[in-house]
Amino acid sequence: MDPSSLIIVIGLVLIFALYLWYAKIIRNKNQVFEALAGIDVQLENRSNLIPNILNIAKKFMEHERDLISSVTELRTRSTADYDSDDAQAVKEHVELASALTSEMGKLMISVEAYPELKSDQTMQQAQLSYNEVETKIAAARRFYNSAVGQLNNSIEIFPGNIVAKYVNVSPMPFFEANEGSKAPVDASSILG
Amino acid sequence: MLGQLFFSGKKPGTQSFGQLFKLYNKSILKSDKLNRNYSEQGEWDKGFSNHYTLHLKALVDEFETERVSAALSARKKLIWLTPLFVIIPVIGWQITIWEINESDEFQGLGLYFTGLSFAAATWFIKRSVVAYQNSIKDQIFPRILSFIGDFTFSAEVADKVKQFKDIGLLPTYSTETSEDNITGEYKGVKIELFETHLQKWKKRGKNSRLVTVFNGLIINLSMNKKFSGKTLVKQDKGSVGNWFSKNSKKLENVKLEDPRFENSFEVFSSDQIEARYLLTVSFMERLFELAEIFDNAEIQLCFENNHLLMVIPLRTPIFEPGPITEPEDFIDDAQSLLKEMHLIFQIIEILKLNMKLNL
Repeated sequence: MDPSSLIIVIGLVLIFALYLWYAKIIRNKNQVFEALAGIDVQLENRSNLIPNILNIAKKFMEHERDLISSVTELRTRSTADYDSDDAQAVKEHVELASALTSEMGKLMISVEAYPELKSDQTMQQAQLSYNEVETKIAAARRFYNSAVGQLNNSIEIFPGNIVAKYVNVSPMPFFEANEGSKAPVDASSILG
Repeated sequence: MLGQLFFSGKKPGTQSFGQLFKLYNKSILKSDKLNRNYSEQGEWDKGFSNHYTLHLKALVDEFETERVSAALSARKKLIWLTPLFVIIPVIGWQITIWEINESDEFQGLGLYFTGLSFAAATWFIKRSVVAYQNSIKDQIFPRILSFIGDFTFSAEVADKVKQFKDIGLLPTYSTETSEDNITGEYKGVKIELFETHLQKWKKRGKNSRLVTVFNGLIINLSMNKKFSGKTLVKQDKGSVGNWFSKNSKKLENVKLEDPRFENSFEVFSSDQIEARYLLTVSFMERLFELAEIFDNAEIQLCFENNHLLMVIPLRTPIFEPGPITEPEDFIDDAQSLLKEMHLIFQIIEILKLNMKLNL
């Protein structure tokens, strides 16, 4: 094989390898979007549950007005539209979701101090549903973080870093659980 | 049929051939090691000592008398037939030599004769033992199970596996032998489990023979809530093996964070989020515990529609009374049965299979 043919073959192999890497990055990026959409479905489920919980809580929790308005405000902000292609916007979105989880955790703990509210049947059912949706958010977060891990690896390892710059793909933020969301409310203590 | 009798693997419910020879020992007829008091071991049998006293203790003497009588009968037959265990192989050897010298085609008639003769002798010796063991299954197992709720036990079952053959956890098979079916309900979740032995005809040269393709326990949990996708938890078989065991193009590989779980299992699902919702850290722990109870069995699972199917290969059958050679006080039977059922209940609790939350 003459040198020029060899260079062409090496060049073709390199282009093919870069294409494979490019395809991998795009596949990983799409999986992150899919995972993010999965989180949003669960966050919306939670958003739909919160007004019901707040309505019941308001009747009994006179001293928790600040907490209730903080939850209401965070709920409104977290349901606002965002650009899922923009890493910074995604970061803010997941941080808001985490903050809402934390505030809701505080609210659920406060319920313990109101025996009447604690024994209210509607509240008990709402809390069970809330715990279920939080578990689903945790599952969606695990999928998202796994997808983000794969994407970030593929665009930070050479030659992925070059390909990523060329196709304008940047690392995505992880969805980290805060302490509040790591400790879901114990439904058995409420039912007990 | 001939091949099935001679070549078939050990089916659930059978005892080892070696166990038979323990009948030569006269001390098996003694009842001095009987324990008539149940001492509770943990959360899984809490309150059972009372249940034992009320429903089982009174039967210990009756069943021990039955055991001794069955063991005595089997022992007498064994002693009378002992010369046959020498004569049968000699005749089998003579048939083999005759076949090699006189016949154009070697068919292993001597082997068939030896195998069939031993099988017939064993069946004759064990007749009384089998009758005794069946009476334990019929009368004692339901009494043990009544402690955990309204559960039924049936030793005889047929055609149970057909409904699960397309799920992707069981191998293709030609014949099914199932037994020991337990059915009941826990917190609204229907539980059904049974032992099964699946065999498949395989060709070797001109002959076909039945080989065991699965021997173990199948647990089917049916609940009110429905899974949106299908999730399979299979044993890790390496990258090539896993690719073939994926079973369907609709299923994607699910990578989980727990390295211990990832080393043992491979998860495929049509819904990545639901797979992670189901396979939480506590569920993974219970799965390992369950495997440990079944002698580190290679458990496989499928979540689909409103079912959780668990397939557990077993080396030895589990729903069997203690050996005929040892005094029977039902304590070991109760402990293993209650421990297994307790773990199934824990899985129901962890997965909240009893709750329908309409989310």
